[in-house]
Amino acid sequence: MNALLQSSLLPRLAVGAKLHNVFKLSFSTAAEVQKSIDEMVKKSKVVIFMKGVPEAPKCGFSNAVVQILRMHDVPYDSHDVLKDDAIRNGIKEYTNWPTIPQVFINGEFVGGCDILLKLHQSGDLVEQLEKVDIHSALKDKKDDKSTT
Amino acid sequence: MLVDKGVHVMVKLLSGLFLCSRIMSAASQIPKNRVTLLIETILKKQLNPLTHLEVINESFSHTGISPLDEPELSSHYKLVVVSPLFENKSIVQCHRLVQQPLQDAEVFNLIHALQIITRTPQAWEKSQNVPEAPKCQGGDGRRKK
Repeated sequence: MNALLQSSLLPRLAVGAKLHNVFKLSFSTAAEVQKSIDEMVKKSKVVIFMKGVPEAPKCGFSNAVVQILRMHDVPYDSHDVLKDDAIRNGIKEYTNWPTIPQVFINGEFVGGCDILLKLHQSGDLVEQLEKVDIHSALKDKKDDKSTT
Repeated sequence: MLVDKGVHVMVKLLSGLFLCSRIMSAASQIPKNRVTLLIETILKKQLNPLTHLEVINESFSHTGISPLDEPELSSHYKLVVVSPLFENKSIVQCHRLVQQPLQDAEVFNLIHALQIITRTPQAWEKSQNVPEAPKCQGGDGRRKK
């Protein structure tokens, strides 16, 4: 009964969810979503929440973030918020930041597209990555320039 | 007779040009719609002192929909905000200063995309270049037709 009540309160879970997932997912409360987001954010050194996947972003801002990270050639985890409304709303609550994409380095919220672009242009992104022992491909180029 | 025809064609051409330039100037001066005015009012009230504010409605260029067809279209916005409030603050803190009053007024339920550029008055004096918004990739926004 409880499970039924919960799934009716959370219609997103019923839509398209496989039967064996309905009961498992119907218990995911807001607090549990926050907890799983916290785990996602801390799982890798660079984590992004975006619309679509890196191979096919579904938003210009998400695409810009992917392109920037590609230039730096750093590994990262990406999560498609369009696949799960709980994550889409949960991440906004987690950071108190109203827009997607969102970028995390070493578990800390860095910003969205505008901020990442600014950090990229100022060269601060290379430094921030270096602080967490991630080597940016652009660092080499910068060094090449300064030595020649 | 031939001269008459020539004059007629000229008049037609000129009136066509005139109409064209009128349409173009109408497109470059999109009248502020409700959401644009709402954002402007909120930021003017909440950010004090405010050196410079531009609320740019980019919905038409993003979607390809004409402001003549849908004047209230308000999906994509760009904000250029210049204020001494941003001095000695991180970019995230600056953005939050702009976002918070908009969030409180539930503006994010009305719009799809928002680009924010924050500058201190000194930085603004040095450079008034603002980056262009990235091209829409569809998603759940309104794709360019």
